[in-house]
Amino acid sequence: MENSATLAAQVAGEPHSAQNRRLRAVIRPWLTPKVIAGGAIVLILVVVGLLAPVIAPYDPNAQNLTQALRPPVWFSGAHALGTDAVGRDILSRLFYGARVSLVIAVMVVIISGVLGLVLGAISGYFAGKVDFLIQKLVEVVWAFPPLLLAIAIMAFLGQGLENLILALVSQRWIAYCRVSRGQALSLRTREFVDAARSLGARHTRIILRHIMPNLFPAAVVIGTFSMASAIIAEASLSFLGLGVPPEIPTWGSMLADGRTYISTSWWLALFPGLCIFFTVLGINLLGDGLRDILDPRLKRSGSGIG
Amino acid sequence: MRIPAISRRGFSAMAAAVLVISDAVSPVAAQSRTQIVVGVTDNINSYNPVADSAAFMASVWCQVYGCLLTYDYDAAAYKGMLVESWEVADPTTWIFRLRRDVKSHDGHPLTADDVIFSVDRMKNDKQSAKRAQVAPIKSAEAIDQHTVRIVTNGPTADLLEYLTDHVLVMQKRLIEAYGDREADRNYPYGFGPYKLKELVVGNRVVLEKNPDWKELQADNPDIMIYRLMREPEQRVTALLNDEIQIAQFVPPHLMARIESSARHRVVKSGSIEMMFLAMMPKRKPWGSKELRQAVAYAIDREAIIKAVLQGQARVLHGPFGPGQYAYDPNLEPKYSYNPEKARALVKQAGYPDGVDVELFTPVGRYINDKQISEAMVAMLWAVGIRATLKTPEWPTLWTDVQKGRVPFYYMGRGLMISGGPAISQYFETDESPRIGYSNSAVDDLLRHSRAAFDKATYVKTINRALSIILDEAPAHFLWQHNMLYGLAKDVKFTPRPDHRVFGMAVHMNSK
Repeated sequence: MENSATLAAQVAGEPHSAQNRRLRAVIRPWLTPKVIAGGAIVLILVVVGLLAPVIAPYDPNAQNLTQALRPPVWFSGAHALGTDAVGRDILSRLFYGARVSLVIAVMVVIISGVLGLVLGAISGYFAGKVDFLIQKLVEVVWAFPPLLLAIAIMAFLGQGLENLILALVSQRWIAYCRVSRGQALSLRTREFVDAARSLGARHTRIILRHIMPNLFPAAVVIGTFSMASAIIAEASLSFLGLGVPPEIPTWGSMLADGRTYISTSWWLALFPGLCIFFTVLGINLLGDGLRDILDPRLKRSGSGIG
Repeated sequence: MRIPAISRRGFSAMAAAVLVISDAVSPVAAQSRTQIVVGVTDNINSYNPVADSAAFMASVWCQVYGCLLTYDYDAAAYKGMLVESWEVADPTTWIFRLRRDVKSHDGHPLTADDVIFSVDRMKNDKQSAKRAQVAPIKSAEAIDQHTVRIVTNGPTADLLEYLTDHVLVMQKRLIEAYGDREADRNYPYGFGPYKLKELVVGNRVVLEKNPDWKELQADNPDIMIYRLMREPEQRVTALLNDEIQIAQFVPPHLMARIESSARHRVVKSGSIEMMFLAMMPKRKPWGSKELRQAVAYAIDREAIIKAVLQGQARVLHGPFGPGQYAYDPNLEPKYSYNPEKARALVKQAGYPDGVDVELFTPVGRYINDKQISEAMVAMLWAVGIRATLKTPEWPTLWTDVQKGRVPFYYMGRGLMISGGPAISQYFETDESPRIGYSNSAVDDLLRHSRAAFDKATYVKTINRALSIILDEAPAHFLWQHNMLYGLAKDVKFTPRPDHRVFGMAVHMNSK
């Protein structure tokens, strides 16, 4: 409605101020402190991640043994945030580490989201035996403690970005599956689905065109929270040496390397720790804000997802 | 939400429990009995004394069960522990006379049968990790109750190095009565200077002085507690907080922190553990000698020692350093840092565009191992060897190395007294798959070295073998670490180059 009105106004050449007013009306609900703060942090993360090769002062893997363990020199000098035990620039490694966190978070959320939504929709739409089988699978996978399952998968498959994504997806699709299944169960008996069915629509069409679009808002909310948990899990696995290979700088592995020097060279562990902290905080704030807007019922009931 | 209130009785019970726990670990609480807590890094993983070949548990079991002999680094000679004397009857026959004044912790005499039984167990126990130590032994038999004759498969001049502090003596009587697992767990009555009081797998070992052991002095601690503390920061912090009195393996960068405390100090010793890079010639692309030599020229050992180890290591040009039994300063060839030569050798090896390899390294097993390997990776890239670093978990890596599955790795080999057994283990055909190197000339020389019962011939032969090994470069020898220990001021302890912390070597100043 809102969109078509704006469009119509544009076509009719309505005065500029009225256009702005309507635009503001569309945007205003999104301008909550949570969304702004969270969004800003996420935006910084995205920009830093994308522009890492441009803004990083050094190659993140370039070593200079004569410059090892240099403390931060904030506003001048060669290494603003100091160097690590083999003389690599911490700032550059943080920038590149943002890429890994970003790639992991986005890929894990997309893959687990698609998988969870499709399985959830199928499970809820068909109900009966299909539902039973899929939900049993969910229960079996859910029975493993999440980090333990990821550790087992990484120990079995070895280090690597793809393996890490697979390990993180292994349980994260379940939240989507459960929620979308519940919604699909109620949607399948609704009039518009009956109508589509009586018009001869196939199951695939009904699921894709009529059920799935209704599942998206909840999935977006789950997605933002699961993004944060994926970043934490990546950091934990990298901390344990089970994440991505050592030549790819990640915040988790930087934190792990820094712990041996925590009392003598604090900057090694502090900065990656802060990056993880603020990123997760930002994503959670954004997720919280989006939930308030997209699914007000959850806000009222006080229940959290993810 | 209401938090359930803790009743007064519950609170006092908790407080009492806390007191009991702190009593057990606090050195102050034990007024009459002296106690030392050592923060250690190695695994505590079994009650079975033959199931671990690592240095730390070997030292624990040697104190509890007693081993045949140990090595005295000051005197540069083997010293009997349960053995009084020994002689070589002929190149394959050794006679060991047992001490008659030693009794087990439950009061039984030490017999030749116990020794023979223990050697058998090390060979045949399914969990045994000490087979290599008894591998040269063909048979062991009792001449009388206190004399054992050991016959070796071939002449083995360095048999004592195989036996030293790894060959323990367990009581035949107990294991026959209760079975080995049950006896290990519930009847760990050995012959050694300390009794096993408690062992918690993955956590701690508690030993208690054996009052009947004559060589123990009054100032040796009554209780020795070894607590597993893998993180260096944890060990140093615990030391500074007086939770422990000896911190093993302090990394160089934490030295200053200990030295800044008035109540603590750092002591150091050289090490007989060689650190090296292994390249398996049977695995691609390491079949090329030029490529292996290129690695040797590509690594700037001095730079790594200076920057990553803060000077706390000495460069090795062979497996031995000055002062070691088989060290020969004239051993050739020597590799020095020469990236141009390394680059040329990579091309000569048939890789004009460089070559991709994987370097495996443990993390946290050796001092600054990951940082060192990262530095080496960069040096290898600089000469066209595009190494990617692999950091599997230590148990996985160790198993794979022992099975010959890792083509290129950074590792250490400790307990190199005369060094022959270690050289055989890594470089003699079919001795172990760890490098899988095979060269008949080296095999012949190593065999001859084992038959050389005089030092001059031994050193000469083993160094001829080493010269071939150095040229062929299936391994590149890097350095020996300086081992740093943090100590509480009132503790006297001189660290050993083999990293053992024996209760007998620890003295309390104030008591």
